[in-house]
Amino acid sequence: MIDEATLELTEGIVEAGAKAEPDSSEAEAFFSKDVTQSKFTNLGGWGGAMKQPVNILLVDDQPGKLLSYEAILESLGENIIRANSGKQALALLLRHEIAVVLMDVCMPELDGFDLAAMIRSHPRFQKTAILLVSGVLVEDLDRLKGYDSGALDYISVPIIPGLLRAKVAVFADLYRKTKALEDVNLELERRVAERTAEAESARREAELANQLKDEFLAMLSHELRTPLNAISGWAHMLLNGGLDANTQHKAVETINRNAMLQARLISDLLDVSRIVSGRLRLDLRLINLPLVVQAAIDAIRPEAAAKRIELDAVIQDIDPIAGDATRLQQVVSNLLSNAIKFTPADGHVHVRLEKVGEQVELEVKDDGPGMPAEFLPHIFERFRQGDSSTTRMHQGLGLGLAIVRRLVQMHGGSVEAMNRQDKSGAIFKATLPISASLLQTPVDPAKSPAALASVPAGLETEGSLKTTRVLVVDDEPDAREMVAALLEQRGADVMVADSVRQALALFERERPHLLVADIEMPGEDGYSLIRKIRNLPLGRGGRTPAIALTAYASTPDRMRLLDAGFNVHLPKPVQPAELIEVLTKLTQSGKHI
Amino acid sequence: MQNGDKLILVVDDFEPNRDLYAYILSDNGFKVAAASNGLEGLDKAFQLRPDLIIMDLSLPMVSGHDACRQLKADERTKHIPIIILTAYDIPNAAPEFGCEVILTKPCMPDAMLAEIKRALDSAERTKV
Repeated sequence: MIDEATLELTEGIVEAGAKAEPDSSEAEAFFSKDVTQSKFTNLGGWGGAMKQPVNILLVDDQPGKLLSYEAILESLGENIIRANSGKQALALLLRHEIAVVLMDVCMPELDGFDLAAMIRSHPRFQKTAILLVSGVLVEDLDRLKGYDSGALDYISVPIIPGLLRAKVAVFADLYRKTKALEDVNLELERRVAERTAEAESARREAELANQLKDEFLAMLSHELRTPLNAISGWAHMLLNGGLDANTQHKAVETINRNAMLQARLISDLLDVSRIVSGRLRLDLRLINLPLVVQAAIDAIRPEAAAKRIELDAVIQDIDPIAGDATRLQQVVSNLLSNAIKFTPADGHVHVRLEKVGEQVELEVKDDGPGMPAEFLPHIFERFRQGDSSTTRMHQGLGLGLAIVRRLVQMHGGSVEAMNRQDKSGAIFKATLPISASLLQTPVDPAKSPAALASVPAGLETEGSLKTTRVLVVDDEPDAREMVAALLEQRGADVMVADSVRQALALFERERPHLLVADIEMPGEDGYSLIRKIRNLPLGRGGRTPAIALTAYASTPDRMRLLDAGFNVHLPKPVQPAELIEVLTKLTQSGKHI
Repeated sequence: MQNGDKLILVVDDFEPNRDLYAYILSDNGFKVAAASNGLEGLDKAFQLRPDLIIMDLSLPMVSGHDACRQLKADERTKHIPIIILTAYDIPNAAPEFGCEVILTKPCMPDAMLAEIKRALDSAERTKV
C-alpha cells in the first residue's frame, strides 16, 4: 500500500494511468476491462445475502481526474458512474440510485458546495453520502461550509488513494446497510399491512358468516315451525274430539306427512353439516340404478298427486353401477321434490334415465317458472334460494340441491341446471360414470353393517312376536311407550326400563329374547349397556340380539354401535313396519341363543 | 255476534295450514275463503271484503307484509282487521306491519279463535 500512498492527483496520475504504470494495480485494472460498462448492468437489485454493488457517482469537470478516481476505486467492486458537470450529476442522480457522490468543489456553473446542498435538500437522496474533493488547501471555514451544505466528508488534495478508497468503501457499506435495513423495514411494513388487511377481511368474512348464520337460523326455525303448526294444530283438534271419521283420518295423515317433512329437513341439515365437515361417506357397492330411480319416483308420487302433477318416467335398463343406493335415491328424490315444488298444480314432471356412452344420465324436467339467469350459477350453493326475502315462492331451506351436487360429485359425476328452451321450466341433469372403479375395496355383503341392518326383501311384514320377551330401554317416555305399544300390538311380551341400571336389573331377572335400546340417555348410555350385556356369559344372555334405536343416524355412528355389540342399528324416526320386520327377523335367528 | 255472518280470509301458501284453519274456522261457524299467495289474497280481499284476514308472511307473488300494507292503505279495506300468522319469531312487530296482531306458529286453535274474537269485537266497536 505504501507505493500508492503519495500519488498526487495531477496530470501525473493520468499519465501514469495512460502508461499503465505497473505499480498502479488500479490503473492496470482500469485498462484491462471496461469497468463502467460491465457494472452498469447491476444497477438496481439491492439487498440479499451477497454484497450487492452500489453506485458511486464521480463528478469532475476534468476527464483526467475522473479516470484517476475511477482507477483508484475500481478494486472496491462497486459500480462507477461518471459525470463531468454538476448538471449531469443531477441528471444521473435522478436516474440512478447513488450511494456515494465524490465531487470536486471547483467546477464551473454548479460548484461542489451548491451541488451538495441541492442533493441534500432532495428527500430522495437522504441516504446518499457526499464526499467533497478540494484541490486547494482546505481551510476549516471551507470545511464548515461543506458540512453545512450537506457533505459528509472531505478528501484533500493531494489524494492518498488508500484513504480515498477506504472512505468510499465505508460510505458504500453504510449505504448498503442502511438500504438493507430500510428494505427490512419496508418488508415489515408491507407484512404488517398485509396481515392487517387479512385480519380485516377475515373479520368481515366472519361478520358475514355470522349474519348468514343468523338468517339461516331464522329460516330454519321458520321451516320447522311451519309443519309444526299443522302437526300441533291437528293434534289439538284430535284431542278435543268431535272430529268425524274422515276428518280424523285427514288429521292423522296430515300430522304424519308434516312430521316426515320435518324429519327430512333435519336429515338434510345433518347431511349439509356432514358435507361441510367432510364426514359424508358413501357406502359403495354394485347397485341397480333403474330400481333406485324407480323407488325414488314411487316414494314421491303422493306428493306429486297432491298437486295433481303428472310424473312420467323413461327408465332404460342399465347394468349395475358402483354407487350408494341410499344416497343416489336421495339425489333423485331431492331433484324430484325440487321439480314438484316449482311445478304449478296440474303440471308435468319428466324423469329420464339413460345410458349415454360410458355414462348414465339422469334428467329431471319440470313445468315450473324456470330459474332467473342471475341465479343459475348459484343454484347448487348451500342455503340459497331464488329469493330469500319474505316473498318466497317456496318452502324449504335451499339445501336439497347442494346435497345433490355433493353426492353426485362423490360418485365421480357432475350435475348441471338449465332452463328449458321449448317452454318455461327447468332441467336438472346428473351424469354418473359407469365404471366400477369407484369400488376401491370390494364389499363383502355378508360383513357389511348395512347388510346386517337391512331387511331381506320378501320378509313378511305381518310378522308375529307372540311369546317374544322384549326389553325396551329409553329414557324418553313417549318414545318408549310408542315402541312398547307397537310391540305389544304384535303380541310381544314387553318390559320397559328408563335407565341403563334399571335395564340391567330387568335383563338379569327376566332374560328377554330381544333388547331395543336408545343410545343417548342421562348417566350411562346405550354403549355402556350393550358392553355390559356382551360381557355376560352366554348362559346369562350375553348373546341376546340387540337393536340400537337412535337419532344418531350417520354411518360412523352405525359402525360404532355395531362395534360396541349391537346387531342392528335403526335410526329414528323409525317406521313401525321396519321395526317389526327387524325384530321378527332377529327373533327367528336369535331367540334360542 | 253470530260467527255465521262473518267471513274470514285465510292467506297461507302452506296447504296443511290453510286446511287446518279452514277447518277450525268453519267448525266454529265462520265462513271461510282461502288464498295461497299474496296476490290472490289481495284479489279476494278487495272482491269479498272479508270481516277479518289471517295472513302468512312468507308468501309467493306478494309478501304478507306488502299485502298487509296495501290493504291498510286502501280506503276500501283499511278497516279489515288483519292477523298475521307467521313462523317467524316476531310477536311484537305488529305496529311495524300495520296489522292488528301477530301470532307465531305453531299457534293453537284456541289462541287463534280468541284473537279472532278480540279483533272482531274491537272492529265492531270502532264501527259504532
